[in-house]
Amino acid sequence: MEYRTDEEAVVAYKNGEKKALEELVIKYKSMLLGYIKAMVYNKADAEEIFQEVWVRLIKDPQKFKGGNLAAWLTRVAHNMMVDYMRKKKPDVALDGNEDEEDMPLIDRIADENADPLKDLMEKDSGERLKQIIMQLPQEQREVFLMRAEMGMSFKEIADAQKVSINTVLARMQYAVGKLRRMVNVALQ
Amino acid sequence: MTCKRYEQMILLEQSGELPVEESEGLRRHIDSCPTCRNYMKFYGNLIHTAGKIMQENPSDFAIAAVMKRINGGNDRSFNAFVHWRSIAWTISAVAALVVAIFIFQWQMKPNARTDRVVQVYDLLTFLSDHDDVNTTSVEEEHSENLRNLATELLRLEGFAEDSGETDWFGLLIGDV
Repeated sequence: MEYRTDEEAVVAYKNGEKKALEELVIKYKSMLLGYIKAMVYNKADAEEIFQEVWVRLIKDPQKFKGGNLAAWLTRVAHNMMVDYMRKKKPDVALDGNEDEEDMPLIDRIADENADPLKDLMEKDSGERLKQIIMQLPQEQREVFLMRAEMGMSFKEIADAQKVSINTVLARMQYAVGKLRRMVNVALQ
Repeated sequence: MTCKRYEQMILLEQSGELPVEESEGLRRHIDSCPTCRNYMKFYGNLIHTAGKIMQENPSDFAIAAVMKRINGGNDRSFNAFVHWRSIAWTISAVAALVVAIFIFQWQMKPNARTDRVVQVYDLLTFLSDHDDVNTTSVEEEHSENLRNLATELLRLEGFAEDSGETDWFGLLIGDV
């Protein structure tokens, strides 16, 4: 059975339709695990967190009060990863206040037809780009993944990271600037 | 307004969060600024591409565990394989230990046959040394006991046979 929105599917699950939640798991499994693994690196740990996120929803679907389910799942995963990071590396926090570097200079690209991303993708089907993304600092990587992979708005990202929207936008700017530079370096 | 500020507007515009009144200003700037135009193009492609390549498929175990939880499975479903494997290893280790103890005990167990030989020999020796009998009946009984013990000793030592009569006592004392 298809549901128009994720919210409807969760409501159906609350009313006993287990298939509804199964469909949501299938829908978000790759996105959610991709986000978690890009943050914790270890696939076994990532899968454990992945399961725990769903268990949270399975046990207490009332906790999801509607809206963007992807954002809700991401927030839950983020909080779990904060605990995970504390256990693994007590001196490194997922949402710590690391000093931001200087704002990147805007690259002036003369050729408007240039598409460095497309060129890079053609080289190795995205493997290099994936490595470049993984090199981003933690906060910037998380903002980037929440936006690119989980499709969250910047407001939702700010709520998840418990920072202001301006901080989130700045982190994204740094991330995009860094990725742009690294893509150009990779093409040389 | 600097291009730096327009960058942030581009980010918000692409996620649908830019207020309507600012969108028009952004559009006009994009039309006139190739740098911001390129930035917008790069950012849009980056988000679209990254969203696809960063996805990761969970293992069958992980998915099965979640599905089992949805349908009322227990908490150990994800680690069921590891859980039962560890139990199997524990049982195997205990069984091996029991077998080892049993073998050790069996090896250390005194040879009952050897013990009996020694016992019979001791009795024979004792009776031989105390042959100071005075009556015929006691002497006969004494000889009978010696004969029986000698027979048993020879049997234990592998000389006795089940069939036929043999003067085992004679063999023992060297008469035959």
